[in-house]
Order: sequence, then structure tokens, then C-alpha cells
Amino acid sequence: MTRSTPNEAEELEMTSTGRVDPDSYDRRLEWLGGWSGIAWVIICGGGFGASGLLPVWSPSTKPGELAAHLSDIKYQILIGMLLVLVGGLTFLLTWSLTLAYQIRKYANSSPLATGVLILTGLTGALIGMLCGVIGSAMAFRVDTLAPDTTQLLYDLIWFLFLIPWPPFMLWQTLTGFAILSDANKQTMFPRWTGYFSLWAGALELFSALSVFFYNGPFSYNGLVTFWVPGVSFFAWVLVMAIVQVRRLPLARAALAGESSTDQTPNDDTELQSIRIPSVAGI
Amino acid sequence: MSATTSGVKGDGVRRLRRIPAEPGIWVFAILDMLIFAEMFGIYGWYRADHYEAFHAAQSTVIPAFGLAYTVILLTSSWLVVLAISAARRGALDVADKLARGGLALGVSFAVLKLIEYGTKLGQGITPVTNDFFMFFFVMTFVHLLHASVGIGVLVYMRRRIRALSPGVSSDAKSMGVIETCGIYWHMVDLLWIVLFALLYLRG
Repeated sequence: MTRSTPNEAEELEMTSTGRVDPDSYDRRLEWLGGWSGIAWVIICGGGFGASGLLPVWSPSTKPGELAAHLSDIKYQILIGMLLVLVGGLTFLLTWSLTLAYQIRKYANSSPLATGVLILTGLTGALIGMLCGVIGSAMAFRVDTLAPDTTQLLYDLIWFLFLIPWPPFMLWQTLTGFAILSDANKQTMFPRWTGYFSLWAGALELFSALSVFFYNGPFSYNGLVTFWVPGVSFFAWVLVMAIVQVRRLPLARAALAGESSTDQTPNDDTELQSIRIPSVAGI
Repeated sequence: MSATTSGVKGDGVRRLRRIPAEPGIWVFAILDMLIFAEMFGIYGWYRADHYEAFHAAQSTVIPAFGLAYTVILLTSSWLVVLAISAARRGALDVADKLARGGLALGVSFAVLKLIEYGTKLGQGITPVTNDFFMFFFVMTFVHLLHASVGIGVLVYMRRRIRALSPGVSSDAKSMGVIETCGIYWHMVDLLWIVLFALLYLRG
């Protein structure tokens, strides 16, 4: 990076040892990427809330009754789905890429793990997009469609939300194992976030039950099948994103300390003390 | 490892209360048990609502199976405790044998469970037969998945025990990993005891 103007020079960050941090652009993107996870939770969760589709109606509802209800809240659904598209597609994409990048940078540098994390994150974002598109199409045509076709589209929204669980499980468990690996420096991701990821990944499995039941806690609107994986996934993104945002300065400082150790071995005593050797709080 | 688990003996420093194993596993165990608690609560709700139907359906469950699982898992957990304590004092051969015993019992639990599912399905009883069997199959199957992961965890634990140096007191880090595996297995055991009481005992 060249320092052409004084303003640009001012924008460059100073590390705690007084050195100029040359990649403050990267730092800002990491910071924004972490925040985009928090934004995803608020916008995508808010989108579903605003759409009036929550709580989900039972799969055994009569098609005519469901179609009449959906017709009543048509514009609410369209606005909610718009928010789901912004949150579900855009912010899940930026956040999942940031997570994959930071896992590689601070936890485990396996290129294969990075690749799988990027692809599973992309899959998650595409699923969010499909929910939004199908929900919009359903609301768009609700007044002229046959009620059982409307119900099929309604089923599709929730099936998309729930039953493509395997890549989500892979995403969360791989994140968990990368964090628990010995290579993890624990500056960004403390070990408890690894166990937390494994827990959230395990719960994805409940979604698989939703195709077998038409009512009760294991159907697609059920307390176990819908709310457990749904809430745990949102909680996972929120907790990880908060950790990413809050620990970013510390993690970067420790990394800068490490690279300066390689060049000037006696220069990093101050930064060494910043490293977090144990499972501390966020 | 947390600073609170540094069990250095004779260092003259007042020791903090030690958290068994790695603190992170407790995050997993407590959150996981909360989800089971939610399922138990919903089951209780449904059972209270349809008491007669649940009671009638429950009479077709064979309590001997439930009792056998309970004995198997409790014994297995006990062997794992003994294995960990043997590993800690450096008696690795004993620890390995005990861990193998715990593992064999874990596998026999899974096999017996599949046999029970087979008999139920053979009688035409499936998860969609009625609400009781919906809960019966789903909750025991989710538990069986936990047990299957647990079998993998015990295989890993045994490998870690065999990797210790014989005759010496084990280092804190390896013991932490081994204890973490043990705690997962105890959680499987604990969840089973609640399932046994809810599904196999007629109240």
C-alpha cells in the first residue's frame, strides 16, 4: 500500500507497538464480515417475523383455510421475503466467507477445510435465497392459484428451510473440529466455540424428521423439528459473529506479534502478553 | 485447557477448584441436555393430555429391554470411570481392558436397541402408529445416535489411553482429553435413565 495523501496515512492503523498496520483494509473487511453475521440474524429473522408466516401453520391444515390466510397477509409476505432475500442471501454469504477466512487465518489453515466451509456457506445462502423466491412467488399468485398448489409452495418454503440439513451440519461440525484442533491459536476462536458449533451441528438432524409427520412436535411446524434447529442455527451465527467482532483486535494483534517474532525475535514481549492461552470469556 | 484445571501438585500455590475435563464439553453437554429436557417436557404435556391412550400404548413396550439397557449403560459408564482412574495412575493395561469393556457394552446397547426396533416394526408398530410411539421411536433414536457417536468417542478415548507412556502419571492435557470423552459417555448414560423412566416404566 502506498501512502499518497496525509488522509490516507492517517487512516492506517497503528499497532500497540507503534508499528503501522499495512492491511487495515483487510481488518475493516473482517470487522464488517463479522457484523454481517449479526445483521443476518436481525434482517433474516426479522424478515420471517415481519412476513406473518411465523408461527408456521400445521401441515395438516386444510388447503382452503391456509390459502385464505395467506391471501390476507399477501403484502406482508412479499415485504418479509424481500428482507429474507437481503439477509438470507447477501449477509449469509459475506458472513460465511468471513468465517471460512478467519478459521483459516486464526484456527486451522487446512485448504480443504476452507474450501468446504466456503461451499457449505454458499449452499446455506442459496437455500436462504430459494426460501425468499418461493415465498414471494407463492404470495404473488395466491389469489389465483388452486389452494392445494398454494399449500405445496408453502410446504416448499419450510422444506427448503429444514430438510437440506446435511450441508449445514457439515458446515457447523467442520467449524467445530477446526476450532478444537491443536493448530487453533485460540486468539479468535476459544475452544468453547468449537463445542458450541458441534452442538449446533448435531441439532440440524432434527430437521430430517419433518417429512414424516403431519402434526405434533416433529412435524415441520413442531417445537422440536422447526424451532430447535431454527433457533440453534440463528444462535450459532449470532454467537460466532459476536465472538468474531469482539475478539478481532486481540486476534490481529497476536498475529502481528507472531509475524514480527519471525523478523525481529526480541521485539514482541508486549504482544506476547496479549495472546490468550486459555479459555477466557468472549 | 483452562487455567482452573492446572492441577500442578506441590507447587505451594492454593489450587483453584478443578473443573473435570475441558470446560467446553460442559457447554455441549448442558445445551444438549436442555434440548432433551424440552422433548421430555413436550412428552409429559402430550401424555397428560392423552393419558389413557399413552398408558394403553405403553403396555406393549417390553420393560425387560429397558432394564437391560439401563444395566448395560450404567455398567459401561462405571467401567469408563475405572478406566480413566487407572489411566491417571499409569496402569495402562488395566485402563485399556476396562475401556474395551465399556466399549463392548456400548456396542451391545446399540445392537440390542436395533433388535428391539426390529421386533416392534415386525409387529406393525411404527412411529406413525400413535403419539406414544412417535415419541418412543424419535426420542430413543435420537438417543441411539448419541450413543453411536459415543461409541466413536470411546474408540478415540481408548486410542488416547494407549498413546500414554506406561508406568508414569499422565500429563494433564492428555488426561483432559480422556476425561472429556468420559463425560460425553456419562451424558449418554444419564439421558438414558430419564428415557427409561419415561418410556419403559408404567406409572
